[in-house]
Amino acid sequence: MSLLTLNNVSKNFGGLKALSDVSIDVEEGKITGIIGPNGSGKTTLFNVITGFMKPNGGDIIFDGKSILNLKPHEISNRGLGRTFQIVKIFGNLTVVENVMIGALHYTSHLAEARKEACRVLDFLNLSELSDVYGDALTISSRKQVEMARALTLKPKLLLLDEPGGGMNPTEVDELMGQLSKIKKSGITIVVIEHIMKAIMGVSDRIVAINYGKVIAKGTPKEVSMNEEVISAYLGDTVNVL
Amino acid sequence: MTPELKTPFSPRKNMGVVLAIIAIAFFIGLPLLKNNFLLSIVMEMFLLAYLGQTWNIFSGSTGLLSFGHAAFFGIGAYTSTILLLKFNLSPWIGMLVGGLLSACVGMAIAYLSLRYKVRGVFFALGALACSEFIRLLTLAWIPLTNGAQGIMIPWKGENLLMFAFGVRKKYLSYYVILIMLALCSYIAYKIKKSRLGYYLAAINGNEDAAEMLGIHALKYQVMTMGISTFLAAWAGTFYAQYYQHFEPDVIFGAMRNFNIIFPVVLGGSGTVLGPIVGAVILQGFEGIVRNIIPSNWYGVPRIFYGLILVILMMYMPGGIVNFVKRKLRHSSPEKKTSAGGK
Repeated sequence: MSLLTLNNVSKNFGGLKALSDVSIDVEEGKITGIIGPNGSGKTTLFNVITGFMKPNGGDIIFDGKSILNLKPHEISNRGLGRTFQIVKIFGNLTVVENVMIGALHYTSHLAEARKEACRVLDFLNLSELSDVYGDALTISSRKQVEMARALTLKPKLLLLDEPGGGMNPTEVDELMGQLSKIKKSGITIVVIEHIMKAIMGVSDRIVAINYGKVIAKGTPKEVSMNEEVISAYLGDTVNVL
Repeated sequence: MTPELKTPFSPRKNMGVVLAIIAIAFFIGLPLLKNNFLLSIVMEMFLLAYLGQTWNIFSGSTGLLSFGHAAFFGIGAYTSTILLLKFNLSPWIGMLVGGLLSACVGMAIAYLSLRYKVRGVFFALGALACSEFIRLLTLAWIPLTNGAQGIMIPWKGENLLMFAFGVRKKYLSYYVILIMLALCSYIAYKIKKSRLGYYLAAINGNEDAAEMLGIHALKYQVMTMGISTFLAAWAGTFYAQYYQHFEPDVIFGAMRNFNIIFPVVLGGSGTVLGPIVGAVILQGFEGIVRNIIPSNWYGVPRIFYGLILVILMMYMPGGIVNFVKRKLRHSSPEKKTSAGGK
């Protein structure tokens, strides 16, 4: 069953077609990877899904209902969490307070929210950062804290925009472990990533985008063998697997 | 390993509580000295701190600069006074009416600005323009407001129910503003330690990220503006009843807006103690500088005053309270201040 369905979604910036007739099905309980060269429309796709931008055409169905005309906070309340490519951490709050914000959605009791935040931080092995202020974090920690923050909302679907950006190979491995763990807890994930080895390894399905069009869909193996994907993005099959 | 929840009573916190109790006891006992001059100065200081605190509730927590908070102060003064003079309504009730009217105007301004994404400098200018608009309205609407002459409240004798204490019972006025300041600070503290406070901190930190955590930023910003402007109007009623006379240029002037914001910026915006510390320092400096410099050196006290403020702002740009907090955080052993890559 698909949790999120995009039907012919288009988005124009003036004369530029950032997205044209994008149709994607995100299966429940799976990790869907989105790949594509820089400027191919991946982040625009996330912005359209989460309500930060209005599409010029098409429909977006989440959990059986259209979310087309909803505002970001309303979409979030339906059970859709998101992280950002350019991390948006609350620098004025500590890590545990950052993560608490999501939990406050379910309880107005601060101590309870803090407990829940600690649980999620523990789940992602981030407990030791609890009392550090957001703006003192390194880029890779910020990415992980942002993910923890989205998780306290207990989303059905989590959109991750380049969670591995700025991470070293060890940190990327750790991140992929976290993604598998999140998937196991029953949360569906859509992830944009540039690190091929990582995304091909962790995803159940891959969608490749170029110039705002879907050029290939399928299992990681199918997509990596696709001629169009190779010429558009991967360059050389030898480097992939 | 789960990080421990913070212990509610640390030695440092205990010391803070003791200091607060001493300060409160001192100010409660102050009228016993029977020094009306001293009382006036302290009351002026409280009014400064109170207005600063109302501004701080909105601007300190949302990061949106309301440059026209004097408008709400003025709405409070005019509403309760006009109701008193035309309908003989007690200013105590007028205070509530003024507060509600002020909150409506404040929320409308915040809604219209933020709905259309008017932020930063433009929000500040918009707020200033609204404040000017209300000032010009009071100047022009002579039948109701008496225009530029302002309004004089005729003295009809002491009457507690009519918020009239006069010179003989000045200490009652003093207690009123003391209670108002305590209440306002308590509200500011409660907001900070509640879900609303955390949401505001998140919105101030990054609005998009806050929205993505299901927070309706506009709703909480407008709500906070409502609380802030409701309380700001009370100061207007207090001012009117205490001085018995006011005029548009004093109530709404640029200096008034400046005086609302300055103590907070100096003391530390976004902190509950900031407006109080700022007001104490501003009032204290003014008193000291005026006393040690000969009275025929016109303008010189102002120069000194400005100089000290410039120096404070240069070395403590986030305000005094935030500066001290940062120092404490760095010296505190149980908290890490920076993290390496995990």
